[in-house]
Amino acid sequence: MSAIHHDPDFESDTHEGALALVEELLATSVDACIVGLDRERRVRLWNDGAVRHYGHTALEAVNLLKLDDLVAPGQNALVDEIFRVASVAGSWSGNVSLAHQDGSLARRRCDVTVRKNQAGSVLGFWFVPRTVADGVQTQRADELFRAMLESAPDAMVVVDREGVIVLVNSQTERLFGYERTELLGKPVEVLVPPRFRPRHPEHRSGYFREPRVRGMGTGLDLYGLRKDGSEFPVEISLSPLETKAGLLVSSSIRDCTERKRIEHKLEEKHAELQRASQAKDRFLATMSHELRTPLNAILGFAGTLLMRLPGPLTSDQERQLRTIDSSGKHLLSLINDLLDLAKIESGKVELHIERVDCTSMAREVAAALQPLAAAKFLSLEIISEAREQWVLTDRRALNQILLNLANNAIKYTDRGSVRIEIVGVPGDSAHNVEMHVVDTGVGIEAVDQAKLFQAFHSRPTGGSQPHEGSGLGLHLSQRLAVLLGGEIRVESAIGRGSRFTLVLKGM
Amino acid sequence: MSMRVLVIEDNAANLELMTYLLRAFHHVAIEARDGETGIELALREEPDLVVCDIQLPELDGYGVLSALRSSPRMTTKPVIAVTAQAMTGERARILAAGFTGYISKPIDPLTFVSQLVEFAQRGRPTAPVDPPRG
Repeated sequence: MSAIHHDPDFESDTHEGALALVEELLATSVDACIVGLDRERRVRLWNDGAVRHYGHTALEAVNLLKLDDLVAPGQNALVDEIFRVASVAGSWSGNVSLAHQDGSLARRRCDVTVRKNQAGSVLGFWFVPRTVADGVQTQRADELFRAMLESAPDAMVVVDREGVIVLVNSQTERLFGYERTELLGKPVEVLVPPRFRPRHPEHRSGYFREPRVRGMGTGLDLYGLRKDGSEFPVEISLSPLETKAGLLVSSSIRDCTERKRIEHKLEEKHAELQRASQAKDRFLATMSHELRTPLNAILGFAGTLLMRLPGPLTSDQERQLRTIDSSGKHLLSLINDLLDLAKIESGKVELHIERVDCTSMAREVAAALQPLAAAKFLSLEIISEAREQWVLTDRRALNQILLNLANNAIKYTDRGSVRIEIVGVPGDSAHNVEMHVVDTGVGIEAVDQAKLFQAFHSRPTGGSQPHEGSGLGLHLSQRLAVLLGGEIRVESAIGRGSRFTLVLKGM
Repeated sequence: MSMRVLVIEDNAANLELMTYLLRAFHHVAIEARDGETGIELALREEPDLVVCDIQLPELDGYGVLSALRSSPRMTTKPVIAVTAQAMTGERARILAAGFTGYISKPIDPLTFVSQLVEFAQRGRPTAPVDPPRG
């Protein structure tokens, strides 16, 4: 009877090792409730899931309980039927009322699978109820999903492949003015203005062919239609939703009336500002033209007279003509500087950043100012430690700054020299370049140094010359230097001359 | 070498200044106060060089230039723009339009005529002449 002794022992000796492993796996799968039964329907395996579901411990269940103890009373016929079918067909599935340790009952769908040895005789059964825990989880997920749907800030409409609405949230009711029941089962096109309806199914099939998440703000001009027939601008995001019932599309719909209104207002404001800016530009251009036209004749004829083209001049005539000429030129520089300043103020200065050699720039400026320096018997020198000193900057702006600084230096110096020094200064990351304009002129008092870069601040000449500058030159130069990412600094002492330093970012 | 120069300029004082300077340096100046008259005189007189203001009433300097360029006898003659317009981009626009050269107002009476002579001799200059800014 030894064979018989082993036979009901649930495990077949030929599969002992493998079964031990399966048993261990099953015993520790907490989520599923799995009960192993022998041919007599006695419990031989009781896993953690079964402990959780029924309440009995393995010690209480194994070898002590039979399946009849695990189902509600009065189901003996059903249990017999289950084992008859499972033995013949291999498995059985159906609803069974289960009895828990605490006496509570639960009707669950159960799967019963037969276990046979190689000879085909029945060894026992697997009894696997679909556990309550699964159901609870599903129910919780359902609740969670609904809560999410309702708490979403946007209207959410879920449609199927045919465009039939299968789910909406309360925001949808509020946004479109429909009751939920009026929408479920209806084509989603009821929410779309008529002029967009004909092409809507086409878009939808296109989406179902290539379902992917499409965010809001894709630049499409979309509109929703309320129950009362009114339209409103919307933003829509779409996401595919895989379900047992097939692929669905979930759309979030947001009323963007307010955003559109603000956008429209901003556009209007922008256009208005642009018109104002254009009017200002036109005004500046016209003013510049209108002021230069008479100035052309004033300076021109003062020039022809000074050239003595019409005839000789007395010394008084010549002196007075020179005053007309210099005052006219002063007026011209004012007009030019104001125009430049207006361009800086309105951000109209276009910088063309390129590699510029400071040394050759200094030579150009010196060459242009050489006649002025020579007229005052001043030496004009360039001192550079390197043959070339490259920076990335705007050539025209740099020229304007340097010309202004050197011109000032000559203007405020009566004897001695004006030097342009170019020095490379090792910086944090890049090699900075400093261009110093050094004069041996009258110098500037400390109190005046602070005001030097203000608009319309004129330096006292300390000499006999009348003012020729606009009082804008240094202000403009500083503004340009800042635009170039640099600055102008000044050091000066009365009677000892001045040093203006333009700091430029090197390469 | 004496040149015959047509000056098209609507402002009387500036027209007088330019023609006075030309004559003072022994050139022949032909005067026009508007674009249409300028084109008519250019075709009739066939000057060696045309000096043309950009901002003219009715037909402006650009219009005058394109009319002159479409006439076979004036296709290759130097046409110099003179303008009091100092906004950025104007110079580039003038040269792109096909003017031989560009002089901005106020003109420098000392160099005005020599600049014109240079334009006439060289044709298109390598760099536009702009008086230094004060």
